[in-house]
Amino acid sequence: MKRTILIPTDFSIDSLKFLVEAVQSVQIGSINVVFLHCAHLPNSILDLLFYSKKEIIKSLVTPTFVDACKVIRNKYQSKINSTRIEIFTGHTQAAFENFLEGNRIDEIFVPENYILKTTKNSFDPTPFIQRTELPITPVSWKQGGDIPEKNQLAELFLT
Amino acid sequence: MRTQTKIALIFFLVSMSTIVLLSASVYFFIIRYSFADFYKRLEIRGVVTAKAELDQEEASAAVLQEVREMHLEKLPEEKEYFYEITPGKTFEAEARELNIPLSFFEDLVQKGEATFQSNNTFYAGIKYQGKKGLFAVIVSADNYYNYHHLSYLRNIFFIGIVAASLFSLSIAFVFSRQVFNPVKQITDRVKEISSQNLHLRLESKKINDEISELETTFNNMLDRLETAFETQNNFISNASHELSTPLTTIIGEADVTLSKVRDTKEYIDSLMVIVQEAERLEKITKSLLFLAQTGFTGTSQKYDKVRVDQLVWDVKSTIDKLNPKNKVQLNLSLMPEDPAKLKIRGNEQLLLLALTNIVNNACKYSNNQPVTLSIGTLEDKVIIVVKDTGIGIPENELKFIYDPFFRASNTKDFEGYGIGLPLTRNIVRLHAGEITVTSKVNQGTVVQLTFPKGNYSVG
Repeated sequence: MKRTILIPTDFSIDSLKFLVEAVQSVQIGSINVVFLHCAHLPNSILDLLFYSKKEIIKSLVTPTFVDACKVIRNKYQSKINSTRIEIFTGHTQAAFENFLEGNRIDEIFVPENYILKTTKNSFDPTPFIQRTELPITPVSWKQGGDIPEKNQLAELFLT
Repeated sequence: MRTQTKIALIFFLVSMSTIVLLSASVYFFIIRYSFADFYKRLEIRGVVTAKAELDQEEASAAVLQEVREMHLEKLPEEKEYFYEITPGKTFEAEARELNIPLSFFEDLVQKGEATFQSNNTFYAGIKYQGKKGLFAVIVSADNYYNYHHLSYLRNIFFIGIVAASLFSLSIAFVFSRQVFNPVKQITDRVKEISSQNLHLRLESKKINDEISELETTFNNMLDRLETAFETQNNFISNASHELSTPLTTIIGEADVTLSKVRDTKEYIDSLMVIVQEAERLEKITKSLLFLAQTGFTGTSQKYDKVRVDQLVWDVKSTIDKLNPKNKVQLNLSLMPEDPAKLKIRGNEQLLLLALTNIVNNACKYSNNQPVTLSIGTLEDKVIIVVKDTGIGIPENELKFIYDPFFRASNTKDFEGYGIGLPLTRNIVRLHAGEITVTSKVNQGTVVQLTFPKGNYSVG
């Protein structure tokens, strides 16, 4: 049985730890993972003309995040079928529901007491997530604190 | 002779011989052409003159004379001679008169035409069947071209060759110096490297040519040399450090026991302690010697597949022998499902030494606080992470940690010689890996080792 799960992310190693938690909760079958990042559409018409989700993702994702993703995929090779990153640019609940349907999301994993870091161009999707009818699984999260390996690949190994 | 000079000379000789050969052949063919051309001109004059003089038809003679004057330039010293050819006639008298060999006339009679050259005077003879009979027409003239043009050409060539030789000689030396300059630089740099500063390396450029290949080869050789050197140093520093504790205990115990006469139980107790410590000493010596094997078996280094998980377990057991109080924890939670991804190509002995060094440092500088050793894999890389919660390394000293004999300012309370990390870095470099150290003072240090995955399938 293949399921598609949604995990909101801010491209930090911290947020990848939810993936580990999420995968561990899967007992049978494999999952497709969709990382969700919410970004505002640009205001200028020129920027809109050349708007490319690929470029946006490329500018946000760090090599460390990609590497860490690979480590986790290698670890749960039989459980994780695929991982991809999606950008949501809507501002309404209906748009979000549409997005979920379009990506065939079966379940959403939400980190508890973790606030996603947002930049000038992005926003936190938690309000939308809480109002959907899809099953939501809260993931407990332990604060890592100010450790030397912050935002390095090594951080993933040391939880 | 230096190779540089040799190359310059070869370059010079090749270019000079090309130039000389070209000039000589041009000169030779020009001479041939100019001679043939001149004889042709003489022959034409001969025919025209013969027609005019011998046929004695007034009208046509006048016309021919006119044509000749209009179109045929008067050659210097041009002379015409007519001799009737009768059967059996020898031209001895004429030959003597004109000072030309008799064979000229014989050729003329037999073949119908003949040429002869003495100094710059050229003779061309043809047989002319006129109305009055058979004549030998001989025209002679000075070849002006031979005199002037060819000698001018010769001068040009001589001067040209001299100039070209100077030019190509200077080019040859500049060129050979240019070619050997990188080699000279390498030589100068390598000369600076001795056993005192084995950590120096040649700066290799990014360009993929023979010179940078040479530099890489040198650097690899230095890596291996330095590794071998440091392995020995490492052994000595470890030995002096690790062996002193049990030795002190043995000596102290024996001294105290011997200070006065004791009863049997006390002797047994102290001997037990001595035996225990001696056994520990033996264990330490063995594992140190094991680590000191440089991995250089005979003549070549053995590179084979190494399973990283096995390596990590070996490290753990080595550390257990060296330092029984350690709290090394293996974290295999991110180990991949596919064991083929854990295989790297390397020398197990060296990798073990490198990793043991790191873990040993982690234990030492954290006073045997827990140390985590974890492994994970990317698509084409294997990652080993060692984390301790020890004293850390000050941020501004991080860039010096790979220098031999460097010790961070906060390590005064710990014994050590600053040998382990340079050695580890060298070993990692030999395996085309990477080492990253991140640290915060009094919070701990994280060492991340990355090795390229070997191309081994399962099994």
